[in-house]
Amino acid sequence: MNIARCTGQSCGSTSRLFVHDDVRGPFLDALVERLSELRIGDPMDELTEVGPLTFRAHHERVLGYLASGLREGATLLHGGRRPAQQPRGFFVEPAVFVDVEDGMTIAREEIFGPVMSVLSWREVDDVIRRANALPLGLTANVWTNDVSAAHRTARALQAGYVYVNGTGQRPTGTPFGGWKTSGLGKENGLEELLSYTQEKTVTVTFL
Amino acid sequence: MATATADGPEHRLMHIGGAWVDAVDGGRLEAVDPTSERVVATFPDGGEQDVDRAVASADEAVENWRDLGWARRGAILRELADRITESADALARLDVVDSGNPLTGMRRDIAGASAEILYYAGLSPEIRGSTSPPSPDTLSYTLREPYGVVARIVPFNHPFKFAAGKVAAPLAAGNAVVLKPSEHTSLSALELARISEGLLPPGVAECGDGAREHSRGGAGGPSGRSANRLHRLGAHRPCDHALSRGAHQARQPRARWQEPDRRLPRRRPGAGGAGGSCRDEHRPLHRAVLRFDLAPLRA
Repeated sequence: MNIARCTGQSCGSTSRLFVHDDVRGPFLDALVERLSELRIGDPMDELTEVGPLTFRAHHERVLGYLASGLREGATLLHGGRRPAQQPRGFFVEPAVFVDVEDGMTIAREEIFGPVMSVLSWREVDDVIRRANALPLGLTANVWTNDVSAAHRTARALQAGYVYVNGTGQRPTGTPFGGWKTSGLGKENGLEELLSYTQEKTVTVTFL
Repeated sequence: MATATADGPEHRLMHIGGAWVDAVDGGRLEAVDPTSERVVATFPDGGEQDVDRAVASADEAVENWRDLGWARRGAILRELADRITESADALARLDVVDSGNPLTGMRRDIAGASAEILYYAGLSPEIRGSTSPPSPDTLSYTLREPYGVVARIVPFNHPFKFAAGKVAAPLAAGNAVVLKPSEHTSLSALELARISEGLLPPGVAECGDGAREHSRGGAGGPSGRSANRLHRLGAHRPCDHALSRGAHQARQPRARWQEPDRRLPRRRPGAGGAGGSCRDEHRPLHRAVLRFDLAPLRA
C-alpha cells in the first residue's frame, strides 16, 4: 500500500482488503509476517522501508483513526503503535485491523496512513457491491490468476484507476483521475494537457 | 535560495517575478523534519498580497511564453527535466528531510517528475483543433488556446514530484503557472524555482508558499487580478474558499471541487503597472529561447 514510497500517505492507498474466506488464514499470516519484516526508521537510510508521517497534525489524525477502529469494535492484529526504537518523530507502525465491519469509520474514510482493514467475502457479486458502496472512487485493486475474473471485476469496480496484480505503478501517460467524489477530470494524459486550454470556434463566411 | 541567519535554521525565500522574496507581511513558517521533529528551515508564509503579486507577474509574462510555440516551450521543458535529473540526489534528500518519506521512494519521485515533464513536452503538439462539417459558404474550425495564468495547489505526500510534474502540462500548453506547494513540504518546490532560474522566463512559473488559509489561488487580491484556471490536487473536500472571494465574487460562480473555473475573466495589467516595460520584462525570455531552441528544432 505504498508504505515504502510514502508511508501509506497515498491517494491510491489500499486501505481496505477484501480477502476470500478460503485464503483468509494463510493470507493474514503472510501479511503480518511481511509487515513485521519492514524496516522502520531513519528515512534517509537506504534500507529503510517505513518513515514517519509527514507532520504532527497528520500523525495525530492517523492515531485518531486507529483509536476509532478500536472504539468501534475492530481488532488490531498488528502494529499501530509507536515503534520501540523510535522515541521521537511522527512514526506509527504499519497496522492491520481485522473484525472490521463495512460501516466502521476506518472502512469508510480515507486515513492516508499505514493502516489496513482486512474484510472477508464469499460471493463475488457481494464483494463488488461492498467495494463500490463508498462515495470515493479513485483507485481499486484486483488480485487473481483468473484472467476473465480480472477483466470482469475491473469493469465492475467504480473507480477511475484499477490495478490488476500490482498496486501503485502508474506509468507516465496512463490517465489518472477519480470517479464519484474523488476529484474531477483526469491527469497524466492528453486530457490533462487539453484541460489547460480553452477551445475557440471560428466560423468564416465567404463573401 | 536562502538568506543567512546568525543562528538557527536557514531561511528560504519564495520566487516571484524573477526575484527571491519574503512574504509582504513578513510572515514565516517552519519546515519541520518529521523524523527528528527539528525545525530545519523557515520559509515565507505567503498571503493574499503575495498571491496577487505572483499572479500579476505571471500575467505579464504569459503572452510571450504562449507565443513561443510548442517546439520552443518543449525544448525549454526538456532542459528543465535535464536539470532536475542532474540535481536528483539532492532533491530526493531534501524531500526525505521535509516529508519523512524514505529515500528510495523519493528517488523514484524525482525520476517520475522528470518523466512527466518530458512526456508533456513531447505531447504538446497534440493540442489541436478540428474542422466542422463544411457548408457551401462557411468554414468552421476550432483552436485550443491556453487560459493564461494557471494556479496549481499541490499536496504534501509527493512534494517534488507534484511540484515539478504538475506544472508541466499547463506550461507545455502555453500557460504561466503560480504554484502553491503544501505548507508542510515547501522546500523542494522552492528548489524547483532555483533550478528553473535563467531557463523559464521570470513570471512563467511562480512559486509561492504559505498556509492554506491564505492560498486563495489568485482569486483576486487588492488589484483584482485573478488566475484564469485553478487546479487543486489532493483532498476530498470542497475548496470553495479557493475562489470564493475577490473582485469577481459578486458575478462569478464559485469553483467546484477540482474544477477549473473557466469563467474568470482574463485581466490585463494596467498601463504603468509594477511589471516595468514589456521590453525589459521579456528580455530574459528571448535569451532563454536563443539558448535552447536550436538543438531540439534541428533534431
